[in-house]
Amino acid sequence: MTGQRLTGIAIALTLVLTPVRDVIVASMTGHMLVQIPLLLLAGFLISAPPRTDMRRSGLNPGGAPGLLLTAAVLTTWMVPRALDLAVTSNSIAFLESGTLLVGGGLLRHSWQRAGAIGQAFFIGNVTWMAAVAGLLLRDAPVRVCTTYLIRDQLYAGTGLLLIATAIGVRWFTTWLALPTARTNTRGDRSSSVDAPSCIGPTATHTSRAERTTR
Amino acid sequence: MTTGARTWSGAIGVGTALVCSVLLLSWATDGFAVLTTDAARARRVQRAPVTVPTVSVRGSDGAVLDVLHDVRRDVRPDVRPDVRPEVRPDVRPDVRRDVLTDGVRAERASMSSTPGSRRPRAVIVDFVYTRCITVCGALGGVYQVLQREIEQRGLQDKVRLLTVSFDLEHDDPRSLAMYARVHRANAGIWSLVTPVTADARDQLLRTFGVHVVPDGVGGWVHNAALHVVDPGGKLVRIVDITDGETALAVALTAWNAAP
Repeated sequence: MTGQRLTGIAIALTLVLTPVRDVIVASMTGHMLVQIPLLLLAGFLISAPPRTDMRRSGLNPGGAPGLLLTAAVLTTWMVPRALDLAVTSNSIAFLESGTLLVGGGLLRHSWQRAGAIGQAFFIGNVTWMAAVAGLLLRDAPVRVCTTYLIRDQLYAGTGLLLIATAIGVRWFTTWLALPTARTNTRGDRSSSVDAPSCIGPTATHTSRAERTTR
Repeated sequence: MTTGARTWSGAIGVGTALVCSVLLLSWATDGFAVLTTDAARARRVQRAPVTVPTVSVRGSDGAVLDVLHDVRRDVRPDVRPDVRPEVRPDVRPDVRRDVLTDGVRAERASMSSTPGSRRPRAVIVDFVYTRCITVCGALGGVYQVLQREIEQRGLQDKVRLLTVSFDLEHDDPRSLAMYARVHRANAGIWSLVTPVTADARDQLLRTFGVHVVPDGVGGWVHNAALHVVDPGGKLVRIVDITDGETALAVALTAWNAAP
């Protein structure tokens, strides 16, 4: 078992089974900006690295089903009612953790298959939605979650807006840099893009995409 | 893998992802209808009314009764098992001698002798704690307006108001009577109670979908709404606190529809 996978399992166990969860989800900010992203990350780390043979796509052609489901999972846990239920019910808390872990794994397996267009679609959708959710949370005159305070809602909304914007901008600038990277030699290209695979289209991905189109 | 098999497995993958996504989002939004817990609760209650549990509460005069017991009529919905009025002079002798509560008691006694229909009334219920300085004050104001409306339109035989406190430690009959006095509650229309036990309180909060969160500075934050209970003892509608007019209309409809 790789160290990456062990780290993922450790994060997942801590966030699902220990009182750490209760501490984090006690605030809306902790729930939306710490618990949910970390569970997604844990799922990402636990899942085996994807096979390099892109033609054997099986149930996940072009990574579309995986990214669709991941986007749906992330959307679900931005719904105030779902957040309330995850705090008040143990079984829903397990549903939340389970879907996010699976979502993280699917993200890892679908990202490179999706290609620049699929990735743009996914990032565009998820970050746009998160940013809008953040704006709505900031502007809501009343509490939208029955389990959280209104001050907390303002913090969570602001955080969501900032993180979504940062990821969106980071991905977009990386994406803009791609054509320049393509004109370079192979060695230069891999060093020109340093974003982790989850945030921007990676150098490995570009070369693979080119290989398949050739 | 052949091209055909790949197409099929791909289609199965896409189909499964679509179905799972729709199921998940539909679950979270209660069929793509709501985003918040409160809205989901209101929607479910409107579709399938919920029977209010039989629990003991102590009124602003110290008497222990069932939560939906209508003191003015001394009746309660036929469908519910009767809980006999139980006065406990031994528990709070200070309260029974209190000037405030004696006033409430006298007014209530005069009301209960009023002749007229003994048909149970529809009830509009809200939840507060009397130390609350935010939403409960607003609720008190809304109830004052509703009470005036009921008086002016002569609806006191059809609709009454009930305020339930969830602060068992602080809201004794004396605090309730003080809150009633501050908001000029007419005891024949508006009664105030505190559940006798934590268990009773939790049952009520669960039934009405009220979630109480500590605010970190010694008080609580809670979702506030107007809950309409029909004369049969069923919670039939939850409306926004700013919409007293709708609450009253729903309560009247419920009263007219009752046998």
